[in-house]
Amino acid sequence: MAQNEEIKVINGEAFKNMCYGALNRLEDQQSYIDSLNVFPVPDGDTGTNMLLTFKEAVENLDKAKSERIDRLTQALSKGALMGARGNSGVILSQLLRGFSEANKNNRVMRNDDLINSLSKASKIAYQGVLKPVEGTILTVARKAARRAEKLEDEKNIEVFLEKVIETAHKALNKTPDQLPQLKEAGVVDAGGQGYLTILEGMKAGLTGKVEVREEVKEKREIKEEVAEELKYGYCTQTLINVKEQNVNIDEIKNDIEQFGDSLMVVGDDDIIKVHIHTNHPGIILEYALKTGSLRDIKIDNMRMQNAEMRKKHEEEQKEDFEQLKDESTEDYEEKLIKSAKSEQLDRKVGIIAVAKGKGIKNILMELGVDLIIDGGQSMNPSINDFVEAVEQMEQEKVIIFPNNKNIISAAQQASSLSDKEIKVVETKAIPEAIAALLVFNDNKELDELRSSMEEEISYVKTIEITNAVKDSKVNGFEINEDDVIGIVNGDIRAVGNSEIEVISDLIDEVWEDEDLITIYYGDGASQQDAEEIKKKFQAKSKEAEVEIYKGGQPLYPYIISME
Amino acid sequence: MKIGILTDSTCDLPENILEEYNIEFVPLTVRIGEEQYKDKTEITSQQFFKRIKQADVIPSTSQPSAGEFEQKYREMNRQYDHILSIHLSSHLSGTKQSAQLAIQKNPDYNITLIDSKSASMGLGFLVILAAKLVDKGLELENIVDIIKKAREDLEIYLTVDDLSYLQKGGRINKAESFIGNLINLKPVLKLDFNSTSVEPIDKVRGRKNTHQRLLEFLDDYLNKNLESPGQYWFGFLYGEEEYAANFREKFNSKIEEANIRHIYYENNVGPVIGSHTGPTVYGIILFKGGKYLDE
Repeated sequence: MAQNEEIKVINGEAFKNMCYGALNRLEDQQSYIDSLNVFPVPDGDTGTNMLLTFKEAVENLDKAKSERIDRLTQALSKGALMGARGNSGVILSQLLRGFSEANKNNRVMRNDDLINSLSKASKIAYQGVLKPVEGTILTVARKAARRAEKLEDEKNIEVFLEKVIETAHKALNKTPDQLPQLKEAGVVDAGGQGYLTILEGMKAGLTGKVEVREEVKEKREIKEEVAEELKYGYCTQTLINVKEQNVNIDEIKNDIEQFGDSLMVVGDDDIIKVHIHTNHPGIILEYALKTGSLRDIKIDNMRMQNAEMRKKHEEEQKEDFEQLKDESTEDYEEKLIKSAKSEQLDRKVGIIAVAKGKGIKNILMELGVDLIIDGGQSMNPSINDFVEAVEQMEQEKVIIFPNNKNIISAAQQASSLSDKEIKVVETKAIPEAIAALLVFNDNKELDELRSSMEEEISYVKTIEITNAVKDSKVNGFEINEDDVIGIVNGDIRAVGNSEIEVISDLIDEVWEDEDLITIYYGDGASQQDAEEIKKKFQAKSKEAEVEIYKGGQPLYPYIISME
Repeated sequence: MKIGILTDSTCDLPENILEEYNIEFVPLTVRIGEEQYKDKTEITSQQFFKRIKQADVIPSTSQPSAGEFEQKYREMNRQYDHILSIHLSSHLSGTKQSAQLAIQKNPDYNITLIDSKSASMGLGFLVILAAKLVDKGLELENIVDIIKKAREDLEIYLTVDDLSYLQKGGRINKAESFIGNLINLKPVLKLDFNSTSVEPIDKVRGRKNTHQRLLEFLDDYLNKNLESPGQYWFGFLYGEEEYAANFREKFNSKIEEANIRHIYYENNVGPVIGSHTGPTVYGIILFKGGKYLDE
């Protein structure tokens, strides 16, 4: 397409280019948008969630076998809906639904269709949010739509978009005046920035002023580096289902160390994962067989991989193993984990929960959860993850515990997509789900059940301890990256250098004579540390029962409930 | 006609009550490892709980033999024209069977055997009711009818910190699927006329919630019995004091608050009941005994 020609019509190809442009732009800006998150906690990053959502939208767009705008916007909308993660992802999917609804029966898109798209987008996004807040992506979308509505005479789409973007940008810059939290932290709204980024990317994609992705080029360059000599040629991995108890991991390390390098061995009483670079994968597997039965065996010839891939692979391995450390062997590669107990119970109502951490998952399943969606902190499940989970349930009635405030909306969207009767109990933390599960009654109507569960939740106070992922100013706290932050029912209430210090401060501040304290310790904390915290509570009350459980959750060394 | 009342050692009535109403009992037997004791006569509750802790074994129990019943019936037959023999629920023990055997062997004795369908002080309450009805001079047949009817009003709710005693003793229904191992849940258990074993009816986290749950059953019972006249009989039973003290206080003040006519009994569970509940048990017995006495 000639670049100085005026574009008045968006055809299928042009629309796809707009979407690719937006995706490109979002990829570039992902970490910037993440950095705008006010809350310095490691979950639900807006940039990541919007990117993942948009990526699935574009993947679905690519599958559409049509060049008609109605089909394409529909495919984009559907992909976004299924892929939506986190609150920002859900709102993005609503915005894209606006595009789809505005273009029913349209073969191409012109000025008026674009106006209609932007207004519908804003309208549907507002409808999708229970309590719309100004100073967010909603405001940016609305102001962009208002501007568009005044551009009836601007038939040149490039100019049209430029003007809309200008308005969106202004709206974004005003968000700190509308939301005090943003002002305090000195940032603009992350979701609003995401929408602006998408609009900018669309314009760039339309006019062809996008840098072509450079991936292909990069790969070529890297291949040349492979020449470097490798001492050990085979990356060998296996999981061992341990047959006898008391397997000594150090002993295994000792025994196989001599056969290679990059050795990692982690696990617990049931399962051990072994990773080594060796020239003798056979010997390693034979050795592993003595310890138990093997599964997920993987042998890669590293000499045939390029350096970049190898590096990436190694980093992934490290991360994997980090997570596995502290014996909390997670259920590998399984997004949906079914409780072994659930089928024999033969219940009318099925229960789905989102959770991370082996200990926490097991406790939830023991309390009656049938299916766990792996996720929560750091990874918000998509609407599609919920849809798949619901489909797996035998029951026609299903209750969902999202266990994170940023996941609730995806769960709710999923429930409206299913034929089954689904109720989302709005749990924002794991202890709320645990309290709610105790009043589960299979014979109650779902509505009644949800309200009795939500009543239970109101009696639970949850403390979460994590480390700040960046500098920030929230709630009057000056927070530096890596500071320990203490969150009570979703609000940051204490900041400090050590976990015990932060927890002590919090206990002093929020103690209300509770008598059941439950400490779930996760990665980065130990039973002994938890015992120290128990003492702090017992100093407040001799009567209080303090229970300690190994939750195994990542990123949050402690989740504590007070009831 | 002179009517004598016989029960067994699981009635968990305080000694002074047994004396006051001339109530006789046949002891069951409790075994701690190699040692064997006659319930209550050879070992007290306190001694028993101390002993099982030392020995670190789960005790076992056995019903009285038919011979022991025969002997007791023979003694009582000399003093009374008729014997009312009221015992531990046949769902929980073979005690009633032994009594039955003894009766079959001695057809000339006048004995009426009643299955209490209850245990501990629930059985105890029926025995007291029977004694009071005897004192009032009611006809035997009448008394038997009333006792059989009154069984249906008895409700016992209890909890334990440690379910292993109930599980090992086998007097509990589907406990495994009910209570988990990963998180500490306290079971709320029920025993009433329809129970064929101790039934888990709820699981609760934390002591306070457990107490609250038990007290809700008191509320329900009061609501259910609003219409009928007469005095309430409340029982509080427990294993070792340390587990029970806190709840006893709440139970008592709740009863006071209700501002109703009532009698209150409390006692330790005896060694035989204690063998099946363990030391951590405590519970309440709800009964409107006064309804049957026109008081």
